[in-house]
Amino acid sequence: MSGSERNMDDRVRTVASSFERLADTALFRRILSSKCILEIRLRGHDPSATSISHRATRLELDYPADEGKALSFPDESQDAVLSSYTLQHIVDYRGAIADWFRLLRVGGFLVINVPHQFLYERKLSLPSRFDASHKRFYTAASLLMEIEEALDPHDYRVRYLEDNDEGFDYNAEPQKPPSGGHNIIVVLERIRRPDYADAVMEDKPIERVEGRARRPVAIRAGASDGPTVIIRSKPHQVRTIAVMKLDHRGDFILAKPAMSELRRYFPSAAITLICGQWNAPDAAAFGIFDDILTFNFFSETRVAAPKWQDAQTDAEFAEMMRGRRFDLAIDLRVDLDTRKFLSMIDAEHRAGFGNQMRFPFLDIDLPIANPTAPDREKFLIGPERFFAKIGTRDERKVLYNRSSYFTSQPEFLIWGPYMTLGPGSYSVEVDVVPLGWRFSVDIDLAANAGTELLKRPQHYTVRRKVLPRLDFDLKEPKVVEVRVLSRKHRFVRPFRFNGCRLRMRNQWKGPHQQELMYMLTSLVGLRMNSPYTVSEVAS
Amino acid sequence: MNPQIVMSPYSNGRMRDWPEFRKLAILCVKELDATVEFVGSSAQRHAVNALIRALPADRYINHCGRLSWVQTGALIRTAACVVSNNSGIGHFSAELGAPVVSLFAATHSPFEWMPRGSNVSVMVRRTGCTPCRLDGNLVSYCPYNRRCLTAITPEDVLGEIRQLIALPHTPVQPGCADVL
Repeated sequence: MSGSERNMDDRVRTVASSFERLADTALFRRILSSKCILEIRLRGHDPSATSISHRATRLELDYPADEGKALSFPDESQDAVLSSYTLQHIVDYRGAIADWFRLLRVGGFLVINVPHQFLYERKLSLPSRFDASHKRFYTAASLLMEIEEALDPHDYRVRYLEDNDEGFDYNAEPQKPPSGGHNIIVVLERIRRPDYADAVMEDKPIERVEGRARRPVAIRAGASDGPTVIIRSKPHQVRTIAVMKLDHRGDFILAKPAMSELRRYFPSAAITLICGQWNAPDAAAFGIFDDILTFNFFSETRVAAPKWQDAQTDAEFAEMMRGRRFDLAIDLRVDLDTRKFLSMIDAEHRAGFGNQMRFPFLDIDLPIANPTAPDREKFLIGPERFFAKIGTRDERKVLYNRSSYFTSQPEFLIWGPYMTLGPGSYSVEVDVVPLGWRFSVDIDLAANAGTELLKRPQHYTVRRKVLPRLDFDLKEPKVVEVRVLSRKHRFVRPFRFNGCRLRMRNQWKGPHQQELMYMLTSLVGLRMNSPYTVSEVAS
Repeated sequence: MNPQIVMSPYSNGRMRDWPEFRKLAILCVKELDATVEFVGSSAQRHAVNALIRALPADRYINHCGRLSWVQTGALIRTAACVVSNNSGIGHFSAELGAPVVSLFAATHSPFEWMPRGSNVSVMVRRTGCTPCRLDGNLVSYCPYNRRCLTAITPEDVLGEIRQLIALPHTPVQPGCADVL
């Protein structure tokens, strides 16, 4: 008897003994007493081996010849299908398990019996020690995983699962065929598929909870469905870069971290700097530029204004850039006045501060306004957050444009916004302007619905260009209210109230110019690392 | 050798999940003679089981819940192409330099959120309701049955996969790879 035949014989004995051992259990008595039992085995094992049950129809399959073939039995024709030591030979385990299960009536059983990886093989990976045709090793978990892939979990229940090691000799050498039980047995019962199964498998959303607001999804007026848009990577190597930094010595010094970052992103690119003549020596000493061009749009000191609308200046710049072409050009000036020169550089990509609304030629833009622009640090509180005794109010203003209003006693004219502020030093400007005559008011600051006065009433003249300002400190969080009062025996003249501007004193949270330039070069570096094109597909 | 297509059919929000991955997988096997390998979390395993049920086990492989993040990366590195929704696997694949087709719903702007890499194609349908900002699992709140996704056809996606597979592999630009 050859080794292979001996292994086969061992298997048959194992299968038979497994079922003999279980034959007296209620579940297996039920299975083995069924009328229609189909027993699937691998062709070639001992033909004298007895069947599991004398009622069983034995079907011998040959793999890989039978791979992918459906069994020629009708659906739901069997009470039990028993597969013994077969599944491990089949490549398409999903198809085989599904086909065997297909034959079962509701209430029928699928019994699958496979060798156990750590009882039979006793090794971690293929090939098998004893049969090179094994496609996979099994544990109970991996067998169940294959079953879950093959079958809808609503169609069956696992009724029995066992690692059979009865009589297994744990002292035996792994190289030798195992003695005793060394298999996994799983029994599935086909159940009636519940009505909700399809909805569960389609993962249909749970019905909305009654009363919960539905979010509106509006189609904008005139908007219609467009095509499928494809955004594709556009491989692009940046070989030549022009960097403009035309302003003054201090500006150039601040730009150095950004320039270093640019070199770090593009280590092999040829970088040309365009700067004022006064910065050229420092730029040369900096050592990261391959070429330095000088162009004096500004003056070294502010004795002369920049040549804004000077056609000759533009012509000089154009002449200097003639014949030069760059993959990328960057203007590192945060203010917008030099951007026109950027547009004059022949470059495939242009980058700078601003936004595309103002500079449509920018391919890469950092849409941050100059932090030194006025009011950047102020938080605007709109007039809609305030109450008004007189005048008309909309989202943008409180407007009192009727005849002058005489008050014999102080009256609250405007009050709000009841905003919670944390500890800190604040400054609030009340944006109230006269429409004609100046007039005077009192303004105070209160907390806790007016019960606590934070700032006593002070006289202010409402006039153009100068807004009443109140400075105050909070040691603990308060709900703050600004109140504008009329004065005793004084007129209230027509006015417009635009809200308040609040800021924290002695604090600056916005970016520094140096940080902004660094952000721009980082943006350029990242963008040019993954440039893209946009196209449409007609479908 | 069959081209290996890695698919990640589920994201963290159902609004982002393109519903045609099964059709695309079948097309990839039929048209490209590919092996399709599905990746995802263990929680997504049952859904992917349903997606590939009755399809041959040697061509449609469910790795959900079976691979660590590092192992997933190793699989992606060997892939001819990765197809994902707007999800982490798309970003991971792009970072690794793998060819990626990323399918975006109208919930997010791809220009803000698309995977960045040298072999990336992002597909998005410009529907009139873009952007809706219906993220997460608010599928039932979409009155248009997610047409931003359903209007992207498996054939269009297959066409994009073909293009990416045919392209020579473009390495990440020298000097930038270490930055990223």
